[in-house]
Amino acid sequence: MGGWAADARYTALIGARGAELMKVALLVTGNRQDAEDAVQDAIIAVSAAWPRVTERGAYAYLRTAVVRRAIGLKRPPAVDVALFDSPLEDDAFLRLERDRHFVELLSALPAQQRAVLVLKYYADLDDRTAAHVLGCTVANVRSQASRARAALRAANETEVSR
Amino acid sequence: MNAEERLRELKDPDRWTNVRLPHPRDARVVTVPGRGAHPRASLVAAFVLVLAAIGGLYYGLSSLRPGSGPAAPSGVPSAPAPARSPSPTVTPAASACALGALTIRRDGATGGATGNWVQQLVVHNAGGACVLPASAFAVGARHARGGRATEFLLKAGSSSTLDLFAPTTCEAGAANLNPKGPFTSLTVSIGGHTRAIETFPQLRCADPFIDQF
Repeated sequence: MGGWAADARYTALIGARGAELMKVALLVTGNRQDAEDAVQDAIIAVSAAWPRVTERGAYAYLRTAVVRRAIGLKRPPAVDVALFDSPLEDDAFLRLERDRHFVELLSALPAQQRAVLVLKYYADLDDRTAAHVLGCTVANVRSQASRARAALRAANETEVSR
Repeated sequence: MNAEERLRELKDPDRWTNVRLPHPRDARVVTVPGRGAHPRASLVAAFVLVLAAIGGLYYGLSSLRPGSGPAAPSGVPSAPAPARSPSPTVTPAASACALGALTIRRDGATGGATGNWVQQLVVHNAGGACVLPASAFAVGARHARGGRATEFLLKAGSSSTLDLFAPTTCEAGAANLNPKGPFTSLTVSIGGHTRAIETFPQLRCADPFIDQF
């Protein structure tokens, strides 16, 4: 069993950018538990590859790992048992009701479409970079974004007409 | 709804609340890849089975030799084979410092109905690695295999939650380990495979009782 310790620069990077990774994961997954799983799994996976990841590209590498996990996450039936008596905390991660509602609508979209929107408009990535993160083509990113926007518009119109 | 606009609005940090990485005291879910995710594992398992078969054959043949092995007196039942018998609950010392709860989830759909043994939990910090003794963690269903109460079963696709406590001794490992932590990682050895997990947040003992160590 080899010794293994977190690199100090990696620790610093997570400390500085961890919250941003969480926000991306929260928007893609729509819930805190899955977002935490995605971020944590990504942190662990990238830590193993850390010596090969340049410091400069480390955040992008981590973000890619987080988004790919957030898309692929299929939560098994919960069997976790809370062994510590900790009070339930507020699970909300957005202050405004309208933002929470928006994330709910976002959550109804297919995972890939959610991720495309988040990467393009929240993370401000161009189509090419978003395609790289998602491991798909630029054309696919564009078509997914178009479909996602249309679906959100339709969802909104349905709500307004009610 | 203009999705672009709404998402761009969310760049404002004031719109967010309660965003944080998992708290050290929370139950953390860590993932141990199952065999399904790692085809090499089945090769290793096959190799182990072959070794076990060879070992069993050798043992079987050697026990047939006259005079080999202790003969049980007639009328006395032979000792039961050490197997997966539930062991008495191992309770950490009352004064032990709790590091937090940890949920280990195992990926994959294969691995057999009975699962695999989690054979070792090892915490790491600057002082080195410490193989946790049975007293350093509590888990719901713990079994003894070969007298080792540190092992427990984990089925593929299922999870197990442990309470971790600061180790007062190590089964093996560094003597320079600071029991107060922080522990920067934890390694799980399962089914013959070792996985380094849980780099953040650091496990740290915050209990005043730790001062007695």
